[in-house]
Amino acid sequence: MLLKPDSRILIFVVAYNAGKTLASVLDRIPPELRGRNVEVLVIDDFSQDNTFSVGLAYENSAADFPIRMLRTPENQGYGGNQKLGYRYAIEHGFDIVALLHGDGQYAPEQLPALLEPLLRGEADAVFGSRMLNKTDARRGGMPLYKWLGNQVLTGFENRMLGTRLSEFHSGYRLYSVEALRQIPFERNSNGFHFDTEIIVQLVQRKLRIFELPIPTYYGDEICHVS
Amino acid sequence: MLRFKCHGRNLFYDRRFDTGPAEETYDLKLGFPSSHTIAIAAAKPGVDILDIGCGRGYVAEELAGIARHVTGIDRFAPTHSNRPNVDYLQWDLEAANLPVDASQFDQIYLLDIVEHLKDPEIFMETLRGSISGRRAEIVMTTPNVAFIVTRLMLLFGHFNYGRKGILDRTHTRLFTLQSLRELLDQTGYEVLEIKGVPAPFPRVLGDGFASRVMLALNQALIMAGRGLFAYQIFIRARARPTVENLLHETETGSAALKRPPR
Repeated sequence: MLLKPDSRILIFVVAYNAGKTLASVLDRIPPELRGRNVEVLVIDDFSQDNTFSVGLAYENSAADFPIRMLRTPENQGYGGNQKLGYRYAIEHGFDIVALLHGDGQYAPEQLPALLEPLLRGEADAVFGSRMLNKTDARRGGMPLYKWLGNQVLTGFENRMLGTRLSEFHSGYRLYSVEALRQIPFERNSNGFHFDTEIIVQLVQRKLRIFELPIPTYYGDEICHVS
Repeated sequence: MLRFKCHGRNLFYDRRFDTGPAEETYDLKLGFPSSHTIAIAAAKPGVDILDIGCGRGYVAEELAGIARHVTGIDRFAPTHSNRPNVDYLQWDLEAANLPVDASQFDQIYLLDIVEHLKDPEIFMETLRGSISGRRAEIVMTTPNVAFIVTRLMLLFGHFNYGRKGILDRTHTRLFTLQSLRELLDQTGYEVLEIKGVPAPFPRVLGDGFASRVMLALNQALIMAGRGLFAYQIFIRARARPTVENLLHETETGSAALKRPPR
């Protein structure tokens, strides 16, 4: 049963040099999320390609749900861009913010499933994990050295934090905005360490992190978010 | 007698020999490489400078020869300046807010201030929140608690405050080069430059050959290891915009990009 069916949801897309993939990411946002208290925010982190104009075309033409396109005045980095999006979610009164990557690394089709624990009020953050079913990542094409490295690092990080997360480095994250209000995420790194720092802050505040499996795609490994 | 001499050299503090008036501002250190000469050299020509904790205005008056305008604020600030481009305001370090709008300044000087604050983290965060629109540059100096003499004294069980120096009795927070950099980094500043400052030997040995030799030696040692041999730390940093200000700037800038060209 959904405790919070009327939650206002922000789908926040971090985009850097994502001109070739952004349209596809936006098109793949599932139909059931369109027009239901859901808005999209794309922040182009000072890309050098046509990311902004691709997103602007969607802003100007999207009839079924609002898409807002912003461009930073200078490159902020992956963490810096996230800070802006979460601040936007707080200032505009959203209840949930779901992070997507403009390079298509994480499947927008998974959004409804990942939103469920937040809509049921059972979690403060939901992470899509590639490692919940340990062999899925390998079957998806993750190289063995990366899989092993991930397992060792995750084991160490869990021991340090007293947690039992299956992985710390997936970028597929959804947060309750109320939870974000309670942590000083604006003090975090502007780079990739942001993702680990926010986990530490959530754990410190005893906020509930829920993991759900997501498919791994190891095709084109170029990550464009910073 | 020995304790008296050490008290006089600020190596020990002995209340029996604290007979003079409290010294609440610093003398000007010019004519040799010092925190003041380095800080004055960092002033940019033609800008507006805010000198927080200006004392009796000694440095502010020197800055006024370079800057367009200098505003000095301090509990002991003079009532006026003879220079037309200097203004002073009375202000206590403990006060919650600055008496001026910090966003109006291009450079903000904090010379030997941060070590007197009860909460440097809150102070620097608050300052950043008020200046981030203009991206003002911070010019800051503070003693280096990891200076070799202080380290060695601690190794032998001494951590002796004095009337002046690194362990001035009024210093509430002490920093190393690394911890000062971290303070700025974690309160939202980008460090532009960090330098080690030699000890003010002329103040102790007089302005003669001995002090010049010691200064040169200290400067050479600083090049080898500034964390160990710097008596003071000089740092220039720039405030990063707060996320709130940056978001508004992003929204405004994006709206401008979306307007059709005329």
